[in-house]
Amino acid sequence: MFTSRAVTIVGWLQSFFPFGWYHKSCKLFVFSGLFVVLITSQHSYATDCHTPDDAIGGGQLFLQAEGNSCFSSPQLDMDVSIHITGTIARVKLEQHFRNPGLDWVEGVYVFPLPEDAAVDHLRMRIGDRVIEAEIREKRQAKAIYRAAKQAGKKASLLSQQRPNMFTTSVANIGPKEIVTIFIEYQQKVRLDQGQFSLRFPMTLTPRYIPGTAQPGADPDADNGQPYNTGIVTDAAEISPPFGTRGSDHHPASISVVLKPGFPVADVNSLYHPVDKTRIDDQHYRVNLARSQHLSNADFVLEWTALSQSEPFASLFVEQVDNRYYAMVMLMPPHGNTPGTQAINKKTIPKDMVFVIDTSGSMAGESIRQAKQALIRAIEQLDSEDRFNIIEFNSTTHALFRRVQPANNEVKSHASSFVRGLEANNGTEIYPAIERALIVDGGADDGPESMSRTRQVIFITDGAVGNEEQLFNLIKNRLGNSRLFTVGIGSAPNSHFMAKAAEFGRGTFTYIALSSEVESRMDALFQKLQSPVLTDIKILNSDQYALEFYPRPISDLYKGEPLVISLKSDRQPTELTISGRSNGEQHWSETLIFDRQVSRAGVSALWARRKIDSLVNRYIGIKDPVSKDEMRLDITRLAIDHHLVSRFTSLVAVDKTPERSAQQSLKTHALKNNPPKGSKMRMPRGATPAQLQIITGLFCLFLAAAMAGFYKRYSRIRVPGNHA
Amino acid sequence: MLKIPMIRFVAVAVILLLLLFGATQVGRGGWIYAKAILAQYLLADAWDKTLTDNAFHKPWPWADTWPVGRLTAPQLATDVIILSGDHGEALAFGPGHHSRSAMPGTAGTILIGGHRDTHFNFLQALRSGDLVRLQSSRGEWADYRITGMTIADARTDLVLASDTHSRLVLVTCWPFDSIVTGGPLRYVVDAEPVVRNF
Repeated sequence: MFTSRAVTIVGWLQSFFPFGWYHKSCKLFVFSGLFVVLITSQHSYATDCHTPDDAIGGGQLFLQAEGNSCFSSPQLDMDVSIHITGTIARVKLEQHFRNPGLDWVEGVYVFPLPEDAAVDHLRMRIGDRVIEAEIREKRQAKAIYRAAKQAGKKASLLSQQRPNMFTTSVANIGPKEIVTIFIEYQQKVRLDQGQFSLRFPMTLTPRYIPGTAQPGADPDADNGQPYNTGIVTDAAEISPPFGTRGSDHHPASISVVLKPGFPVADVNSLYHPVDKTRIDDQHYRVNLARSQHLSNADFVLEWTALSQSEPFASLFVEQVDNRYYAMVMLMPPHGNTPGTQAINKKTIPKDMVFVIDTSGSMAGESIRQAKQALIRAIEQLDSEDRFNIIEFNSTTHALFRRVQPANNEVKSHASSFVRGLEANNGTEIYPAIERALIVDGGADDGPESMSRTRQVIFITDGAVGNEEQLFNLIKNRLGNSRLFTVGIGSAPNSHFMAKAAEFGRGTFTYIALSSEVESRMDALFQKLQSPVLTDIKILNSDQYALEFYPRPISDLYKGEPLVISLKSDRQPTELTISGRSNGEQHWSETLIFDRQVSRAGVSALWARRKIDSLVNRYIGIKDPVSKDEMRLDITRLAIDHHLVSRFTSLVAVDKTPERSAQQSLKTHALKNNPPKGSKMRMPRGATPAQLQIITGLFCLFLAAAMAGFYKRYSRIRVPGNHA
Repeated sequence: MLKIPMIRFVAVAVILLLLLFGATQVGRGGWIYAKAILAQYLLADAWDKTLTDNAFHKPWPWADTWPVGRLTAPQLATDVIILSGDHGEALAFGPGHHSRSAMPGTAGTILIGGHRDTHFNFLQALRSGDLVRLQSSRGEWADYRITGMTIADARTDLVLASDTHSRLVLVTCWPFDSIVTGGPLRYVVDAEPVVRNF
């Protein structure tokens, strides 16, 4: 291969300067004087071949699918119906796979779901027939699906790639046929600072895959990055293709029935134009038609309670086979009692480390929001606080060697550093988190560092594929630090950020619009400055067994509710919940189970949280034998509760074969919409090299000419002076 | 004439500044060419590895891109390694393969972009009927015959992608001899596979 390289280099030199370079440069040399003005504005090059953000669909060279006539890839559209009762949502997702062509096709669609979705039902509708799916161990389910696919039977498989990323595969969709897949899941409603919200993700942000491509990787024509690596062994499965910007590859309609169980003050869809209908003050309907939006940004519905009618606690129970399941949501009286008020006033000096993601996936609107959020955060710092900023993409760079006091001078220096940040390169998060979790107070003020609250604020879109490696890092290195994640962009990887915050014993804040940056960052800061409720414990007066999740119960920040799922063999009657504030203030609350609201899905949510907790432990286990036991435990639990999980999938198979062996089957990966606001990176057609060399040569020439003049001038004038 | 030392000082300062600025500009411009040339050594290594094990290899550990093909124009003695992705990070080192187009060695439209003043400068010398060859990661060579060249406006024009109809499209900025970068015009070279009769 030495010869090939030699040819390469010779070819290069020729191709740089072959076609009248000298002639051209002479001509340009004269003109280059005019461009001296341009020299000072280096940034003008950066816009090369890019277009303004608002001109989506224009200014870029796109790939476009050919007309339907010769395009046999299946088309997809979706209907989503969400029923919210109290603090639990039941979501039904219909995916219609339409085959416009004359071939038999298999459709594979990788799609996002909320990170806490407990998926328990899958149905397949062909014409008038409906086939219910069964829960199976993941590999077994795949084998069943494959066998059916080869036998020419219709089959569908739903498997989990990540807790917030799933794949539906539908085999043997006949010519001009429609197969509808029904997926159902439970989800908790989120409550933060008195604001209830529910999120339905519409598309994915392409993930960065660290590591080197593994041998035997199979290059697949349809996928953006289909190469598994040593760190991300399933890169191909989590890297679906993305469609062209501006056209909707999976149009979705959404209808919501909202019955929160209390009078509602305000219902809002944050990013989509919706039709709202008020049935009564405790019952609303919200609709979003397919034509009203491109499915490229997460759908978020927010509602608040009329003042004085906020629920202090909510309780739902479900009885399954003599077992009792319950979900409790409880608002601790944070800072409202006189005792805690006093603690509130005492601000605790903090060490804050801000970590900002400046990788290529953040380019465009995301990096602008992140910078805005970070500048807002710096402004909020107290003079007694100390801070540092770590920027990362392919490499990690800290602004200061160690945390600096937040005086005005340092703050303005930091702000101008942040303003200058640009997004490019890869997303190597690992070294950045590692760096952020090192306590760098220095030897001279060691004890002071110990007494301070150390908080790491991590601003990112979380577009990574190596989540588990990062969770392990956070778990092992956290120490006394607390990690808070701030999700940026229209489709951030919320599973990664929610989980990272959970391992980091902090919270997750989600910002999708520039206009939200201030309010969300201020709310986060309020949380950070308030005392934390710790050591939360649950006691039941009777001595029956009680299994609750999450375990251990995480710390609670101001405005956050306590949400626990529990299981017991007897009907629970009374529960006492207690906690400590700043290690001093003691708080306890007794809940009496008198008025019980029965609700299907409570057991599924409990199982989902138990699976979460077991998977967290599973990730950390090194010993292969106990790892395998844990895997079996999780599989058994998921099968008992009919849940899709890391180790279980839902599979539905039709009984009758439809495709004959003579007809071939083509597999198509369905495209996701590129997330709103992110830049499409298009080829730059040229480098500024020529211009730089020419202006450079011109300056050198000018310098030489001036030196010549100067020499003559000094020879004539200087002796004259003496005469 | 007390002013003379002052004038001298200013003149020397201006000359020095011009020298310094000129040298950095030439250096920066030269660095772009140097990077484009030097990276090819590492790319050729990574491509050799790919040809032996049919897996993709990053040319250096922190690279955001890796070789996915090799393009030659035999009559121009041009030989370039194609990288994955047509973002700026890749194009600094070699022409980039548009990630949503077909991979070299598969059916469909293959779209490759490159800088007009470095790797894709040779596009202006290609004529209809010329041959270009593209090597896939499996080591197979596919021959393409140039069918035409067009000037396109990237703000309005699109490249049609097909799953079935094989085609090679090479794109660079246009005009070739403009020293100002960032124009909307593109030079598009179309090539059809040469059908081999066995």
